[in-house]
Amino acid sequence: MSVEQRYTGPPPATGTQNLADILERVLDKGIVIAGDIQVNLLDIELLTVKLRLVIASVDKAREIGIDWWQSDPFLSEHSRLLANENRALKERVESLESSLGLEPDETRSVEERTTVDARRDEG
Amino acid sequence: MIYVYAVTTGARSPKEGLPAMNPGSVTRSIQAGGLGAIVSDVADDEFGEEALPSRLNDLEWLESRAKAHQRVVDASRQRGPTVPMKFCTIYRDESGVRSLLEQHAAALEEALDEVTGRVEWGVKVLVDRSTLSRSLSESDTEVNAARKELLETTGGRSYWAKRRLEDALAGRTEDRLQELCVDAHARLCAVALDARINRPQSKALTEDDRDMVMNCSYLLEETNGEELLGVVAELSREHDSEGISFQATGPWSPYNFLTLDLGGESRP
Repeated sequence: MSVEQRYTGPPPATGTQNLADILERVLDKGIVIAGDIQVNLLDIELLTVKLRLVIASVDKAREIGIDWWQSDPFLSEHSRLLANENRALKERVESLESSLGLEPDETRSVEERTTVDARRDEG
Repeated sequence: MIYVYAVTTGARSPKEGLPAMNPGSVTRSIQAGGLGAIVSDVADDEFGEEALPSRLNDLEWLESRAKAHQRVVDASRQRGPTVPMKFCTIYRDESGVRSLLEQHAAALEEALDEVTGRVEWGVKVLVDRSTLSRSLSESDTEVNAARKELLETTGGRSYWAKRRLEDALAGRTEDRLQELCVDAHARLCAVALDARINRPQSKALTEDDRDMVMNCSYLLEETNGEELLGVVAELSREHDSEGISFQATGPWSPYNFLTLDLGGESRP
């Protein structure tokens, strides 16, 4: 049966695959095996198509403040690692500062700054 | 040159005749290591090392070849367990393909096991912001209060009341979208075996004016498609009046769940 029949409210959700759906999967997913022809899809310029797919939409998502996937456990693992790295770096800076006899700066973590900057950009 | 679309179980009889990359040509199957590779011959002046980069930079070419790749993968999936290769996996000759199958037999068999009886469905959420704003100014207490304040304010002070309404609306819009995506994702995950969150697609490719706020893929038992579509239909009904629509696509070969990189072990 066709997917369209399931939907009552407009606009109709579709079971048809659009180009973005196909490129997203075919170019970016699937098993990677070194063939005889080496193609690094990322290096190829019109894969501005790909870049548009990925980068433009992320910028847009930030711009409109939608980054809910950051709360996804798979992805937030990455930000947790970054936060730990921040903390370690901050400690190193502070110990360097104190060994040089400098007053520790009112140091905010990079993460905090990024959040502030992102807010400013949105505004 | 030989283009490899997908790998299948060897138990399957080598089916021929799926429409291939090049107009008029058909796929065939190369067997080795207990597995089968679905392939077709492609021309050097199209897929060769020198020609390929410029072809990939031609959107029309890319579109037709990417669709052809997907068509073959999909036709094969309907005939039995299929593991899709990434676009443009190309070998010079059949021995290269056979060695691919032999060398990676264990990993490929494992991947085939993982996808047996399973498919992927995509669910995207799109928002018509003006409808959502309208809906929020009617239903949301915070926005409604700001709106009433604006109506009761006159003169210079109305500028600030207007700003407050805009801020309230912008803030509540994002809150609402976030809340809704998290809820939708949780409900879809409840009928799925696994899920992947992808970045929203760009408007340049979707050619849709609405903002995409969620783009996820769900791994399902082949027989559970209806269940997922039921959830999508339910979500659509619940949020239609807010200008939010849910689009499901599928069934797909589980591309999002097969991102194995065997690239480091190329043959000598």
